[in-house]
Amino acid sequence: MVLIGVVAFLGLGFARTSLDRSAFDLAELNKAIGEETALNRQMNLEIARLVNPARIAPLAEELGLVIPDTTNQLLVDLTPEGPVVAGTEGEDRSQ
Amino acid sequence: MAAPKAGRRLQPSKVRVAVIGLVVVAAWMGMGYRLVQIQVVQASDLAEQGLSQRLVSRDLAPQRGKIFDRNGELLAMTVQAQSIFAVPDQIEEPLWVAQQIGGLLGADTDVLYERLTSDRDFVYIKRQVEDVVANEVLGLEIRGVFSHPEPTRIYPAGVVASRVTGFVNIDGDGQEGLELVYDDGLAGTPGKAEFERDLQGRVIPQGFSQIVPAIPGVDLNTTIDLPLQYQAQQECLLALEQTHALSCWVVVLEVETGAVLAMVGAPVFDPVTRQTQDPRCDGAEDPALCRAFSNFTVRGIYEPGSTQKLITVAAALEEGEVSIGTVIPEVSYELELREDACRFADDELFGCYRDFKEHATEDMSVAQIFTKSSNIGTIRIAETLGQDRLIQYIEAFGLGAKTGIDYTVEAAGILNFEAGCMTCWASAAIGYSVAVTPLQMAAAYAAIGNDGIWITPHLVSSKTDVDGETQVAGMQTRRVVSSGTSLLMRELLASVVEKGTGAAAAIDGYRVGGKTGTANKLGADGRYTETTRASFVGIAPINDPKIVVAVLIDAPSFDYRTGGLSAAPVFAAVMEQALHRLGVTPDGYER
Repeated sequence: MVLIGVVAFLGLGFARTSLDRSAFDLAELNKAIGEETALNRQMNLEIARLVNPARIAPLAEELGLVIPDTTNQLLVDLTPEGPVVAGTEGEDRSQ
Repeated sequence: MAAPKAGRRLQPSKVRVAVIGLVVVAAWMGMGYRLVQIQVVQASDLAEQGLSQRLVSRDLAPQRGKIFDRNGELLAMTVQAQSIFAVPDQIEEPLWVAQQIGGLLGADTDVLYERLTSDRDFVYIKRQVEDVVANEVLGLEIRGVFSHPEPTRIYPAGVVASRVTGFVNIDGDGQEGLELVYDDGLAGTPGKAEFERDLQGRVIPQGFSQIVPAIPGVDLNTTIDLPLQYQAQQECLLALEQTHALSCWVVVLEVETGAVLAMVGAPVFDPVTRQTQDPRCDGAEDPALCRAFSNFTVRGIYEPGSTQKLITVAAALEEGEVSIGTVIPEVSYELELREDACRFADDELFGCYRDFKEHATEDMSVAQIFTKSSNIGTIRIAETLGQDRLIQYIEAFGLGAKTGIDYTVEAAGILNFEAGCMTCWASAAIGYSVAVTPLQMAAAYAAIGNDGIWITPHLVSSKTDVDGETQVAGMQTRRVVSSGTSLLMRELLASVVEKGTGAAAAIDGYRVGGKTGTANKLGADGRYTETTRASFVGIAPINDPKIVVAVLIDAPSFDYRTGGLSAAPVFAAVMEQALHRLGVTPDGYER
């Protein structure tokens, strides 16, 4: 009985210290999550800065790109017989 | 053996044992007493005292909500930064420290030196510095220099969206624009954390812990299209350069919903520093000139000039007083509503009205009057309405009242119809004697594009909170004219571009319509000057309007003084981009 009591007491102590150790690990993980979240936010900010038109437009101009004067649209007429693709026989609907 | 006689003394060793035994017993009794005192009598007090030493209470700052454009691009967000501070008492070589840190932070060394040599316990060196820069400063390992985390508001789009987002102060409270209007929602709700910590500051597991989490602020999803916003701003900046104007303002609305696709002004300003980016501000004597972050599209009022004629003619058509083909006989170049008001050719007194270009007296149809923007013809049309009905339609189209847009400090404008004023109705008919905002004019034209239904403009389409996305409350709508009148007015607007004063507003592939406006500005003496405010408001495509663009250019140079010369080209460039951005199918119109 005494032996059982001693073993139970030691087991309890071991369980308690394991729990405390896990709690410290959890606190470290939560801290790491916070750091990753902050890093994620920074990266989202970096993305937003990179896609800013005020940054991209001058770079595009340097590369010789221009804003198109007109937009071309291709209209596909879905007839009962099937699509008539512009440029094939039949009415040319491309604009 | 006989017993020892009474009075015989105990042996010294036995006395010592007894004394020691008594001392030990007393010690144990003392310890026992102390144990009972601590563990029983004072137990709760001491436990409470211990807990108070270990317990830490911290406010949990909520994350301020983000602001997005209609495509999900970030316009504003809060990130963690570092605020660098110093304890002057601990600074050993303040001059050297000021030079070292000032160089890294781009701060004034003299100002820094003054702070580092002050007798204060604590001085800020610079607040809300990016982590990279802060780490460089802290990497110098200067005694007495420290940092603490502090959130900072970042605007990735910079000057492009500053007139929409507005800005916050150093403490993160909204001061202008959407940051102010939605400050309560964006700010969120602070939380509180109480927990036990050890000597190293670590949370004690299994210890007392009570956390009320902070509720993050809502995210705003705006109606702004960032690429279009940028394009419109660029066109405005180009117009300023070409016309040497004081400022340029553009509003782009979606006709059917009232969504604001772009709202720009030039000169531009930085939402972080609140400084205007205008070369004319370099070395300017009046610093107020260079803090011009007020949004004129919503807050500024001006006399709209001929763009107002849309309302006058629409009202007359709606009331059946005229039709498009009605001929107004003998429309002259000049009209006097007060005797001798037009006494001198170069001096228009109160009650004198003239057309922009001199012409012979002629019969003109309503369509011709509108297309050629005849002031006299429009006044003759307004005569058929009378002042009361004219005022009724001006108010119905939203002038003289706030539109209700979700923005700060919106101007209602002015309708000047003083009792006994003989000529106010005539002035109002052609866009004088009334003062409007560019947004009001855009909304009025949007009503014509929307089959006669006026709709409240808005900047935020929805808010996203911790419970999920929620829609903003519905907008107000009202019918101002019939769809038939709207259709007629759209044709008149198209004729202005195709045959009239708005030729520079034409766009390849789309049939557009609009109205030029050229209003003289009042001088300090209360008389009109040669300086103008040039404007153009238009819609496209005419057959199925999707977009309204309103352009106002303040004080262009003389060569660009009219709406047709300065504002119409800006309209064309912005409208073309807007139609492309929204993927509106061209209607095949060739100019």
